[in-house]
Amino acid sequence: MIAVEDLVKEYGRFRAVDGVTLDVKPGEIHGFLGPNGAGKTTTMRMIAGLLKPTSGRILVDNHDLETEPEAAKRSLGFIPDRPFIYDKLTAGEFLTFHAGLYGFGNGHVPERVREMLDLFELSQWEHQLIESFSHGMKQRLVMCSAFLHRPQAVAVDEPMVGLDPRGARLIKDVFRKMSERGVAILMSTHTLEVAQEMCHRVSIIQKGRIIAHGTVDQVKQMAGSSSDEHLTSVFLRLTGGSALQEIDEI
Amino acid sequence: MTQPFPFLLLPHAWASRNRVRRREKGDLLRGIVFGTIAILVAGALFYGAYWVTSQLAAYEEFGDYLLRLGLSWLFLSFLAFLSFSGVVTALSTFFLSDDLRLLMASPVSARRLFLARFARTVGSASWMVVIFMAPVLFGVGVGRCAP
Repeated sequence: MIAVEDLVKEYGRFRAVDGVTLDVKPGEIHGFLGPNGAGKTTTMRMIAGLLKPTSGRILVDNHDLETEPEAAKRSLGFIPDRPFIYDKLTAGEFLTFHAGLYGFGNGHVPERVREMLDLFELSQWEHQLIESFSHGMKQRLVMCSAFLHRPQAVAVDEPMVGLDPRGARLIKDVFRKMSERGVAILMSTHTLEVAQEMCHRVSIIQKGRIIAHGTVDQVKQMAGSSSDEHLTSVFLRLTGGSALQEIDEI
Repeated sequence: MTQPFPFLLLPHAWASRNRVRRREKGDLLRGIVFGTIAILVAGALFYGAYWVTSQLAAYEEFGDYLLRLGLSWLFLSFLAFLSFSGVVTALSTFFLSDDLRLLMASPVSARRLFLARFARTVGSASWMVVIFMAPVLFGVGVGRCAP
């Protein structure tokens, strides 16, 4: 559903993403992990069509982002790490505008908006200005908008940042439900507990390259860890951060 | 169904409507004060233009020449102001605007996005020129007994 082939992004002589290849199947939650500056957000932005790759190919629902950008973007829901919301609109207006952007059927928009607001527990705020929302509420509203047009695939960058435990639980439940309905979810995160708990497969990126790829157990095996070892230790070993872990353990 | 490009301007229209609807304390007073100042400035510009035009009418050909010269300079300076304002506004709407990330990630064609941004640039850059220019032109028109 999301296929990334040999993706490269260069800024001058600096190669931020270096030959990344990924494949997220329908109904799969795919964790995209890596330390700060590894190239996660750059990759996500290229998948969303916000950045043009230096080379490589991105397919969303079999639509090439380069040759059929509108069809590819119509099949994708994107939740960036720092989303933009029109603060002076109400939640309902923002979602209605979003539905229009994606060409979602006119007659069904109000009921779909209410359905999504219900799902993300924002119904009572439908007619309130977004500027009065908390960070967590804004985050949930952005997720509403990403799932509003019934995308085939969703790319989400750091979904749990700023959410309280209840909000985080809600998002996890929604992601699971969407994945059961066949939506492919590519999730970039630093929260390894979330990745371990939710992801069917993970890819670990470092210095722009994928250094490990597979199910959580396969990645653990790759790192020579036992299956009951926590993903954090495996991640630190693979990304060369074991010294930090030792400091943590002192 | 793809919406025509003015659809992309809706958030700004809705935001303005919401600002008007959800007035905060002091908004009315602020509106009255600034509205009065705007009317006084427009009135002064109108009267100034009318007075100068009427005075110049007494000098026949030389008055006509001076009026044409004055209007030429006025148009030239407003055009310069409009160009500068247009460039600055275009930089903001085409490159720096925060909502670009949202719009670029959505299935909006480059043409529709360009047209919407262009319309917004034209509107944002020229409203002030129109507001200052209109009373002057009205004043000249009335001074020359234009129909």
